[in-house]
Amino acid sequence: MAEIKLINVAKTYGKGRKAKNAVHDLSYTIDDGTFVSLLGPSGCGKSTTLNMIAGLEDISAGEILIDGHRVDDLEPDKRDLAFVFQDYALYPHMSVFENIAFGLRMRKVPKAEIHTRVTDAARRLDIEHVLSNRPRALSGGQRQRVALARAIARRPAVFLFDEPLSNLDALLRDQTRSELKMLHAELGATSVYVTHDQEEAMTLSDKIAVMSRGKLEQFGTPFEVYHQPATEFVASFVGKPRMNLFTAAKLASGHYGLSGTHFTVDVPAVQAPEMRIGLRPEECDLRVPSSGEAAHGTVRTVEPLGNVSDVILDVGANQFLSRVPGFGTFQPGDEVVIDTQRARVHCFDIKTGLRI
Amino acid sequence: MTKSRRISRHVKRRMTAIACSILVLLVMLFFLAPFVWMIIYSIYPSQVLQGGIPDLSAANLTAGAYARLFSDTSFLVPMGNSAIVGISTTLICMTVGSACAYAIARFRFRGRQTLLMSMMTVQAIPVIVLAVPLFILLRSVGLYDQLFGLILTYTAFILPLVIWMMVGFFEDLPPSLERAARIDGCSRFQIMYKIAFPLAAPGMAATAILAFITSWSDFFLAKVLTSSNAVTLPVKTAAFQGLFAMDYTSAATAGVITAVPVLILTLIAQKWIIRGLTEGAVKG
Amino acid sequence: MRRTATAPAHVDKARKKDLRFGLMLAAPAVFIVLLLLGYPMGYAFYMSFQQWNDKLGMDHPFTGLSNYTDLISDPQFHGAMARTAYFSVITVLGGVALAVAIALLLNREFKGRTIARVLLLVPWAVPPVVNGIMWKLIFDGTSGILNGLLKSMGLIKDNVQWLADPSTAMNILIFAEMWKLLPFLCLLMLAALQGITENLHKAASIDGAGAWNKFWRIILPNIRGPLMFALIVQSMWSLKVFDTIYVLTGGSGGPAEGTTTINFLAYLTNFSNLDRGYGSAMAVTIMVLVLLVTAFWILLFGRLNRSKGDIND
Repeated sequence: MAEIKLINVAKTYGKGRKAKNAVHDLSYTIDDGTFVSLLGPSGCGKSTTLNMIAGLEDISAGEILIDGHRVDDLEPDKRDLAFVFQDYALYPHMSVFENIAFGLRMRKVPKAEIHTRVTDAARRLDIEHVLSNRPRALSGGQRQRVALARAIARRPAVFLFDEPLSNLDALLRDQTRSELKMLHAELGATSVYVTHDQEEAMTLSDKIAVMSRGKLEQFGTPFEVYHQPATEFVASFVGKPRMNLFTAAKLASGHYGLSGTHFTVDVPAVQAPEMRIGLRPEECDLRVPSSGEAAHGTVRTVEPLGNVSDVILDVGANQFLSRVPGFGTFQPGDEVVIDTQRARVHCFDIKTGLRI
Repeated sequence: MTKSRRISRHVKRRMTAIACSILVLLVMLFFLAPFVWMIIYSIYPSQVLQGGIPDLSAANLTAGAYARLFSDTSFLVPMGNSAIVGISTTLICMTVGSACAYAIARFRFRGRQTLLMSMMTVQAIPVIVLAVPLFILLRSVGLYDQLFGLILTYTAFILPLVIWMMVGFFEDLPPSLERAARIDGCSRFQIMYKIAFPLAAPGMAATAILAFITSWSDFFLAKVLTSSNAVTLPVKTAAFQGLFAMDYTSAATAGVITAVPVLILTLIAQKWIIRGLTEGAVKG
Repeated sequence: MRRTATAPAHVDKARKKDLRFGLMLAAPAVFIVLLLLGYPMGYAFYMSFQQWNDKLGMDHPFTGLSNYTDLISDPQFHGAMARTAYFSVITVLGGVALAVAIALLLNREFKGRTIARVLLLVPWAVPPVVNGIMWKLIFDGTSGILNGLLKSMGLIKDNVQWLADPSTAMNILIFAEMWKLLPFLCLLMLAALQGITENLHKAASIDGAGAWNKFWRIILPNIRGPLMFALIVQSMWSLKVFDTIYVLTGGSGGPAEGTTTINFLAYLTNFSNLDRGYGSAMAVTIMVLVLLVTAFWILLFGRLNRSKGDIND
């Protein structure tokens, strides 16, 4: 099995003044047998990182070690890894069997062994009945399975996934996601999974590397990424609905408020005159102001989802979202108070965006 | 150890890249040098060029050959003929061909697939098969060695190409626009010339250019169907070199003059021409 | 079918109007093509069954297949066939192979790739007559640049009459034609290569296919369609090469018939000997040859497709 270590890895496209940094100074270790997601919006460098691990792109600086061996000077096929592409990249002119077998043939695996491995992979993914078909004749879901089978049959030390579920429809995506998780549990191979879908990243991963604009924002477990976001970017990117983020000014020691409103938050042990505050919508309750209490904001709309409802408030010039159970009791125009008693308050430096 | 291997991988890749660049340069040289040499031939006196490495200094430049040809009616008339034939053929082909292509692309009448396929197959007929009967036919109706006879012939030969290309362009147009126009009260004819034709304009322009190039460049049919009155530029240009003697400078100059309009048009429409030339093959 | 049956009457009428409008639009083109291509083609067949020589007189007795049987025993025609075969095999197979190689080269990422592709259009656009003149300026025995260059490099002492030797002349013809035809084939192959997604190349790298395996097992099978198209189109062109021969050899097909292909022989027979019946038989034979070669490529590629053991296509 394999542990992947990235040390100060960087990628620059172009030269001289036109040079563009796609990835800056990445350093982290993907432990043997773990499932790690690279999460971020498009253009954040996550696919570039995956391609660099695979050897499909050169690294401009730093080094990549797999099991302690430097691999950045090895060709992709010498790195003992398999790659599942977003568009599956199945060979259109080969049958499904040949598609799965091709990598084994290129590695001169004996014929009998190829046969066992291909049928085994096909059985695991339930595509035995289409082995003689061409990819063109398959449905999207089947193609996806062929792509997975091709990776599995190789029995590599490392699996690399580049948004493998994004071409499937919603229902199939959820189903395949669970299967992927079970597959990883069965095979136990180190897996790196690129996605822009935080739900996929959260459900599948042992650890998540959140990236933005070529930089690593946070590398941690789903729990850490969700509950202790390292930067304001992570806080805003992870979690659905989005975390409420606003700039608050210091009113008194440990007491910060949103200017122009009566909305205040208690934050012990922070001294900055201003900072960014983050509150998860599902941790903020709403109530009608008691007599004499100043309202924090006005309900603008209510979006019921069935089990919960999202209430959008105008708080001063800001919008604020609160997720309340059931269909809620609020109407547009209602004046409300935001109750942050059970909420974790996330504080970020206004300049650096780092967690305080 | 690892260090040296890393360098070797990069060096190897760099070497391949350099080798490929050199090859590309050689290929481009092969494709461009003969033509450049012809241009040189047309602007330097032949004494300078013959034997060894020629002296291509600006002092030796001369436009004499061009001046001579452009004041020679026996050259200007064929040039005018080619222009008249080319433009007329293009106009007729585009009018008749676009209409037919539009019909094939939009109306599901019986035999439309057959029609399209026959337009494709017709292009495969060797010209030599048709040359003799056309010669006899045109001679019998008094159109031999007449510009109009040439125009008619070229129209017939180029129409299938025009139709084939235009069907592709019309089929790429979203039919919803034409449906919207119909709901807005356009007649079928209005839909065609107010909606479909303007939308397909770039493709039409490229097709027209291709039609003109084909007509302008043709040698064989013009050679067979004309003798003096309606001689076109390629026939005249070819005549600069006889069996035994050849006026090289004039031939080169005439060659450049024949090629330049085509080259300019090609470069203007290069994107569409590349698309038009390759699309059928890659799609089909 | 059922939809027409249940559609309201006015929809039916509208569709009929549509069809009438469509036919009206198509009619002029169909008329021109039928009159000026269809009719002459039938006429060519008709002529090929007659003894029709304008040098001999005005009557054209029907002679059945005798023009065709004469072809079979005509040594001049045999020679032309052999030269056509030589010319075509090299220009078709060599041309397409070279085009694939150049396309692979131009498909790499490099600066000026777009310009290179546009410049490829120059030889394509140069009129065939000009192509002939261009090469004559280079290969001509007395004043061509090639002799000058070779002499100044000391490789030859005296001028070589390149176009005076039949076999050299044929090879120069092939060279000149290659210059003109390669760019189109290259653009075709380039478009085909660009149809292969980048991820497919990546998948092949990960699967451990080296350059050799990648080319034979991934790239080539995936450009089969365009490859067939290129082979067919080039075969057609090679069988009817004319303009370059005419200009390179001063309209003679020489030296000593060294560049007289069947198409050129048909031209000479028709328009120099004025033997139009026999010439038409040759022309028809060329057309049949074109059809046969096309059918050959289609069958060959059809078999290639089937031998891949694919049941679902």
